[in-house]
Amino acid sequence: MKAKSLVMLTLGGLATVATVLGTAALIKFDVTPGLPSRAPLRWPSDTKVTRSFGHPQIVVFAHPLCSCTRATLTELEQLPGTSITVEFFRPGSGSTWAKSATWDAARQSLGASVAWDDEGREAKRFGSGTSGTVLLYSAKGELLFEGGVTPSRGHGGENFGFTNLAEALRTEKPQNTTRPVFGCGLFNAQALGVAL
Amino acid sequence: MQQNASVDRMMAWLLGFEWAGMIIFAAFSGPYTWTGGLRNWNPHFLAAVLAGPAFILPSIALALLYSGRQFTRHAVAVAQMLVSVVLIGLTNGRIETHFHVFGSLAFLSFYRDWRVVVTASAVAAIDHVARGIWLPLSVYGVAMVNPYRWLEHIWWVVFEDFFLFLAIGKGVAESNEIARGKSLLYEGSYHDVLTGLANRRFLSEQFESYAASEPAASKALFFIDLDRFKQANDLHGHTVGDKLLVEVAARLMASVPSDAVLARIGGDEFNVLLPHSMEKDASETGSRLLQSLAAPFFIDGHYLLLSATVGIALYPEHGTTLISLQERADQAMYAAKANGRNQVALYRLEDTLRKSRVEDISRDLFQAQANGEFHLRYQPLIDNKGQVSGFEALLRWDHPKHGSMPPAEFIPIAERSGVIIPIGEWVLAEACRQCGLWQNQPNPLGVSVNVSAVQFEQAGFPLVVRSILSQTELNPSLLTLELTESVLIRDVAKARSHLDNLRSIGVTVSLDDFGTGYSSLSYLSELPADSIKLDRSFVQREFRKPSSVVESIVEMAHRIGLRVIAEGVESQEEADWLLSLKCDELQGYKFSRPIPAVLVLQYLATRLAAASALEPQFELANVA
Repeated sequence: MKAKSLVMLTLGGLATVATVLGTAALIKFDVTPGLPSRAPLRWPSDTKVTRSFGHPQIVVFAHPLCSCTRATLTELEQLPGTSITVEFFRPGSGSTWAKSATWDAARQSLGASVAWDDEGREAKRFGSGTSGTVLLYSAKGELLFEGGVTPSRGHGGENFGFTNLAEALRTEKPQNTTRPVFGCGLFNAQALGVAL
Repeated sequence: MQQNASVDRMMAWLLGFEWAGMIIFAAFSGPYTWTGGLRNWNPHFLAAVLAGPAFILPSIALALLYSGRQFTRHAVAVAQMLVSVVLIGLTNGRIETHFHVFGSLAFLSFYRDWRVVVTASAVAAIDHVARGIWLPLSVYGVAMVNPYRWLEHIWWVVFEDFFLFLAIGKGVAESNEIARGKSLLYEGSYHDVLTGLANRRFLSEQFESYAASEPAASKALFFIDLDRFKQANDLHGHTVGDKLLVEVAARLMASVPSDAVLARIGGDEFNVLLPHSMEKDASETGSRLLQSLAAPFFIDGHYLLLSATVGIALYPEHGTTLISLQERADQAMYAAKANGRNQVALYRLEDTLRKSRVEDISRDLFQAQANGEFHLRYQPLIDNKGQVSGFEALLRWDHPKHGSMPPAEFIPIAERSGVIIPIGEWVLAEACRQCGLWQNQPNPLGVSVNVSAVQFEQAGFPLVVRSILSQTELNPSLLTLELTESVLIRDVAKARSHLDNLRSIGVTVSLDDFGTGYSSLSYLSELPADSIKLDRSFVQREFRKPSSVVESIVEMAHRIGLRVIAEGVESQEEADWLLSLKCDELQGYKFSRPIPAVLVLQYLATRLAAASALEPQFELANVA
């Protein structure tokens, strides 16, 4: 075999390996959930998150710069008339983070109440460490659902998380499962006090 | 190859644009992932960027550096489909992004190679089947799907492939049709349609190429002319002639070295260019060429014998351009023909001089008659009683530059150019006119006139003779037309028709140069001739080394009613010998050289005064 052919084969092989490994890494990134939700079973009394009394309340913790979280908001658009509050993480009140496209989407497309969550205090209070964490509390303040409503990072579409959420909303019965959340981290594990 | 090279370049551009598009899209979607206030590169963005060095750039490099190759287009197909795979991943399996797969397949079909489409489809299929089974979310955009949904995806790819294959098949068929047309045009431009050999144009371009790449290397150019091809063509028809040329071409091709260029440049003319050849090699190749034609050809039930004459010119000694080499080889070939065909001759300077002289003669012949440069001389024929029985009119040409021109030199040239016809008519008319003046003598003398084959084959030749006899008021019985044997056997039926026509008015016919050709006695019995003339060379050969051949011919001729005339009698001994064999008439220097018309009567008077037959030779000087 000529040297040129060997070089070509080697390069082709390397390209194939790189492509396969890259694809595997990409898939792993897409399907690896963030920190699991540890939401309190009852609506926290010390929270400042706005709550709509007499109706089930959805609270979403989001990172304003996380592109994956848009998929979560898109999924929630399938639940019109539901009271939704989106708490956007901000490192601190002095932060220069502007209101992103995700903020606008939450407000305008989803019709949610939006607010900054400085230093993620509310997220910590609700045990949420991953952007895209959705919590559903009943009108009585009972936790009905916690977790993600997307099948993977940034992916919308049919998935068990959203199905559970819709079921909980319809029946107002707790879904005894925590769905994985796919999105950017709001904190690291130590900050949230969970073991991965 | 050429077309796929351009598709390769197009695909290289397309891949480049797609890579840029992927990066822009990934950047727009979000180049980072976040953990609180800390950011990292988004793997989607990295995937878009790294797709370049991983498979897009290598494919672009292949497409540009190895365009037109089979493996290049397959590599491009794989890269193009991986772009689809990455895009579908980047858009989270959006169903709309799958259109990229179909667009890619459509683009790849520009290759007009179904195998490329198969390769691309295989990549898409493997990706969709694998991810459809283990990670449907990444390819369908949803997590909960029918486990066999990938089958539907495959089906639609197969569906498109079906149409693409049809389109490719049709496109390839049309393309082949066009290519075949172009190929025929090319063949027609560079090859001889009949034999498939190279033509003059191809030969010229090959020569230029050899001369440019190896200007110092010796080369040889052969000019091959088939002997007697025209006769075979006339005798058996053009179909046989064409098949004969094809056979000849095949034999010649088998006789030349593999690097030689064999071209047909005219009807029965071929050229061979040997790119690396010295004089010795050239001669050997020339001999091989002649040998290749030696065996009889069997065409449509006919056995045909053929030979060729070959002239060779060497590069750079005899010329440095194809034209000059062809001229020199042609001159050598003509010189070889003049020396008796079926031979190989290397060009010599004399050939050019000879050619130049031939061209002079050929050109001047057209004006010679008008300029009054022709005249006739008359050589007496003596019967076996010693009486002058007639004269043979012989054409002479006083060329203004070359002096007295031998008929053997200018008659063949006149025959080739066709000018022999008016010259022959002038000779006939002048001889008849002169003979008309003699016919009032107490013993009328006849005149013999040589008739060329070209002249005799004219359909109106008998009419021409009749017309001249009428104008000159010559008694037809005093005119003898001398025809060579070859004239008569070329078209026996036509010859018989003409001879019957002429003899019906009293013209007599003599078969000239007997003993030099086939000398077929069977023709003598078939053709309506009155006499035969034994050729000078034949007579002298037989005289020097007597055999019974002449005696037999004379006896046979007499039996079928032909008179026998012997030419070239130069001595009394020859005359005695011929008379002893019962020849009827004699002609030659023994009796007189050809003399001008004005001296004929004087010659007759002198012979009369001599008062005896076969007296000492008439001295031209005495009467001049």
